[in-house]
Amino acid sequence: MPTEVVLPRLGLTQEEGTVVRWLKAEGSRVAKGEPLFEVMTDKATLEVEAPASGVLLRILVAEGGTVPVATPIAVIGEPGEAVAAPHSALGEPGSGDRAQPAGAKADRKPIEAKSGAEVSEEWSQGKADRREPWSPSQAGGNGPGRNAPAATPVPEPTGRVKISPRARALADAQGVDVRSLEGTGPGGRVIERDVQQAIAARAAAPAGGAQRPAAQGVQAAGSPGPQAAAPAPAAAPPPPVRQGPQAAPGPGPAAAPSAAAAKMRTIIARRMLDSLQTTAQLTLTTEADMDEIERLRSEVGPELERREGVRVTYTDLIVRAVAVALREHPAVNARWEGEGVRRLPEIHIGVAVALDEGLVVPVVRNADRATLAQISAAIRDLSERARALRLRPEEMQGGTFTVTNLGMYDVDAFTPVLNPPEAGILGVGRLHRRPAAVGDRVEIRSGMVLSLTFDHRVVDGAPAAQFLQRTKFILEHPYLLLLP
Amino acid sequence: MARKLAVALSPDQLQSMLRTMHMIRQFDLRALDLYREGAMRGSTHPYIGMEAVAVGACAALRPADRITSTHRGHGHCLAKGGDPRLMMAELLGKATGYCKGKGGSMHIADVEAGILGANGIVGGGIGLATGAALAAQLAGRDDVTLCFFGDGALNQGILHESANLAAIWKLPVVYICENNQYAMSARADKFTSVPDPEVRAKAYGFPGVSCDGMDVMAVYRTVADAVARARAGEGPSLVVCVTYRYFGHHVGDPLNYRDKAEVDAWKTKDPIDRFQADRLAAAVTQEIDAAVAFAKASPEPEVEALMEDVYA
Amino acid sequence: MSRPVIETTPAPAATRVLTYAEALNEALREEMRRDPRVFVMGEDVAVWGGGGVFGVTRGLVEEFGPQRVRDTPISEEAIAALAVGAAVAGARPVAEFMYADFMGLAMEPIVNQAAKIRYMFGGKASVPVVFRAQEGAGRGNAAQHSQSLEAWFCHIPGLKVAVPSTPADAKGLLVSAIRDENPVVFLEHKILYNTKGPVPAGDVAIPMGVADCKRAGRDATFVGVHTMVHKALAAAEILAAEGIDLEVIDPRTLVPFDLDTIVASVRKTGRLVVGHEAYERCGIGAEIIAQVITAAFDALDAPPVRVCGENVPIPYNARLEAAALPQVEDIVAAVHQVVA
Repeated sequence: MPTEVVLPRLGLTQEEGTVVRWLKAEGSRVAKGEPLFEVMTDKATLEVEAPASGVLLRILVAEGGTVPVATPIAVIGEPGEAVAAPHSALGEPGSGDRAQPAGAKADRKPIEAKSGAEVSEEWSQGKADRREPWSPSQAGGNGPGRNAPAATPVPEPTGRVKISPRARALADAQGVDVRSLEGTGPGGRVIERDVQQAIAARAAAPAGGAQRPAAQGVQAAGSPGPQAAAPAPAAAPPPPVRQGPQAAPGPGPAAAPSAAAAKMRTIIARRMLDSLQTTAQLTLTTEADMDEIERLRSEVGPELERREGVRVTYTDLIVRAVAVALREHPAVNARWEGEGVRRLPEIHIGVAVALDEGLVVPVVRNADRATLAQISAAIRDLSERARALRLRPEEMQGGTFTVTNLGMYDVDAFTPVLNPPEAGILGVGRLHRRPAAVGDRVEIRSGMVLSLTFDHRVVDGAPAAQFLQRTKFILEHPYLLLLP
Repeated sequence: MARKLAVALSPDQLQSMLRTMHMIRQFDLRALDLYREGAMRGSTHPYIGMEAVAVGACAALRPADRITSTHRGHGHCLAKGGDPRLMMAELLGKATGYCKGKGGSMHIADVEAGILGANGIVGGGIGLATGAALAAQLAGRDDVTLCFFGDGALNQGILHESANLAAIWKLPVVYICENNQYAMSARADKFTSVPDPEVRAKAYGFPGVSCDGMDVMAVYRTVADAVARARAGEGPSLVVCVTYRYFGHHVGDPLNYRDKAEVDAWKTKDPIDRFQADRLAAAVTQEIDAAVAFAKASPEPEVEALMEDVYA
Repeated sequence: MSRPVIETTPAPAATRVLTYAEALNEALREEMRRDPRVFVMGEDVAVWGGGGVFGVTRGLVEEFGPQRVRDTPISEEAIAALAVGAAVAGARPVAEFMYADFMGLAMEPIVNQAAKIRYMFGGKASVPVVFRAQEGAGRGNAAQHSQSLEAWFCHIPGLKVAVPSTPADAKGLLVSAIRDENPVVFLEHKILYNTKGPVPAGDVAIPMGVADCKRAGRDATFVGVHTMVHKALAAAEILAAEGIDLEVIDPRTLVPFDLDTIVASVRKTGRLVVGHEAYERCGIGAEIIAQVITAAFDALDAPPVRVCGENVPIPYNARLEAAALPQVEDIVAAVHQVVA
């Protein structure tokens, strides 16, 4: 009986892993307990031992392939033994074999092998709702009448939501999780009415005092995030609303704010509610000693101002510290994407700017690769233009982490709300002098509370805490900020 | 017939025709250079060897008359008064070209000068010329349209349809077939049902004549006659000009379908040499004639002069 | 065939009920009176039955004489080519092809000459010619006299393509076509010639590239040409009884194409059905759907559906012919499919 080698679960929350390297070639003999392959999880790369002795009959997942936990990735047996599982395409870059639907990842179950016949049937069935193949030589004519209903739609591979573009657009605009919807359209497609129903249901539900965001009937700009406060594309008219008394946008509240403010409010409302409803967020706090950084700022600041013309703020220093820490803790610079975590290759840090109209978050691109002076100049430029409502939409998009500062209002610590789809936001409290233990002595030193809210779906408590700890360390050893 | 035959051309006109023939030859020689050096795209079809046809035919026109041309069209355009600068710019695809660089060699047109365009389709100008003649007739004008096409177009269906229409409506169009012996590699004498294609005009009931296409004055006289007929409202004619293209169909023609002896034989009839020789001979003849006239008109000596001039 | 009378444009002073053929005749007559450069040319346009196999040119030769209303021999290529040449030389020809199917014989001058001359000549020539023809099936004319070939011409840059479905549109668009400085392929539909509708008297040009909403609706958008407009209106009545409100839009010209109006409608309804008698494969419906998807993907709540002619030569037998053509019930079924 051949033994299947499956991708092992190596961590509590691990759902998939990447085969980094096979240590044995197909056909070679392995002994139980002998290192067989290397697997990379979100935490580490580990060697995995062979679960049985015999010949490595077949490798099902090539190097570089990422599969869910418990997926068969190889077969060990005796020479000549039949191998039930077919060659899998999973993780084989460049393989044209589509036998394994990509969405199978979401199954979290060993993938059932499909015979070639089943596969081809599925694909041809997918074509069957076309009335006629593209072929000039149709000996058989066009088949039954034009009124024959389209063939039963092929179920979408799991993990992919079958949804109309219109419904998708409405769901995105209203912050509805499309995976929670049941489609009532043809073949179970989620269509507009399904999203409308979900919005109505959400509005009706007693949402713990949460204000119903401007859901139905209120125009919400198409692009996500506070960044959507920027002008929406002209081509996108208001989503039409078919039902409900709120259909027609009514006059604004008594003390009508400006149109920009009202629009921004709408977007913030939707985004913040979406954040709290669709992520698993919690906050850690720590306090950083700020004496060293104060000294750095007082000594390096004037020099930078003289040479580069920039006046370094604490926010600039913190953004730089966060960027450096993120580079060392990529697990925090990531996002949840339906089936899994995606680590983001670049570090773009949003900086919350409070305006009369509301909150906007312009983004400092590739902050980890910018010098302190560059960060300082960028933040100053972005916040000035933010106050003039002159930011371009793309300048408020694509952030991977946000820094928000309420210190100027004498706030010590707070729980920032994530800015989806980001997985982390650092709240900065006030910088203040207070007695602190230094060794065995009490000294008056500067301190500042850092509040890290993170998405527990993306990163666990310990790594998040490590990131926070590292940020604190950098702030307390600020010469690290000057390294490239 | 009441029509006037070709009016005698003035020395200035003749000089201008010779100049235009040189212009065509040098223009196309230069175009070949430009093509070979890569400054031109697509293809170019030299008119060299055929200059007498365009120049002789267009000499029979007035400025308001129109022509349609062919893929081998530089000669027609220059003969009808096209601007060589705008033509050359078009060959190089420049914004200043006749077509702003969008047409290239095969689509040069100057509608205001009556040049309704070269044409990339063999026979493509035949219907257009006939339609332009229809427009002139409808407008009550006596403008004539000359329709140039090659021996290859003799066998396109549009010629049949257009010739029939021009005949029944007596349209002021002259179909000028430049029989340069080859449609690409297809020899006219093998691919056309008759050796003398002008006989096809009989089928439509209008005159068909041929002339020596290497002789600009022969072309002029023949076309002028047909133009006069058209202008008088008597309908179309077919003129076949027997001529030869010295170069291949275009640059890159393998030319494996004809031999050099044939080309050399045709070159001995070169239209420019011939016209120059004729002009020179005519000039000398004129001088001799004058001498004779002078001689004849001169007085006899007086008898008194008999003994004069014996000694100084 | 009886079909509802359709209001298209607000009626000006005098509006009469005319047939589609009479409306076209009126347009030709008024334009020939207005502009002496306009003339009509084609097979059997002058003498036969007093003017035209379908009566579109009836009586014109009496008023304008045989110079301007010219019967031609059966020479489609020359008809087209002469029209192009005359247009370049200053006339404004309206060339008629008895059947759109015969335009296959004239593709060279239409496609390679008319459509290209302005561009090839660097914008220095105009080709103000109208190529009129009638297309479509429904009369048992079989495979060589029943095709709808608008897609051929829509494919060619430089041509405009008009496809009027009502008498008022027929008149207004033909007036615009004649006044246009560009070649216009003006495709009529043989089944529509005897349909009646209100037509404004006098000089009423309908601009090219402006679609007309023949019926407003909330639930789905139908875009179709010629007879499909009428069939869609009939389908809309059936659907209305079920509570489905169909919007029917007639683009009226396919080049230029009024995408904005159609996209606005799809943004409202989220659903699109496109219909034409022409063969489905590579028909204009595919183009319309492609344009709508590109412009308004996020407005679509269902995959767009085509209701088109089968990809088969048009058969002679009445039952087979009907089966080859898209019918009212096909539109109803298609709408059901998209609103399901």
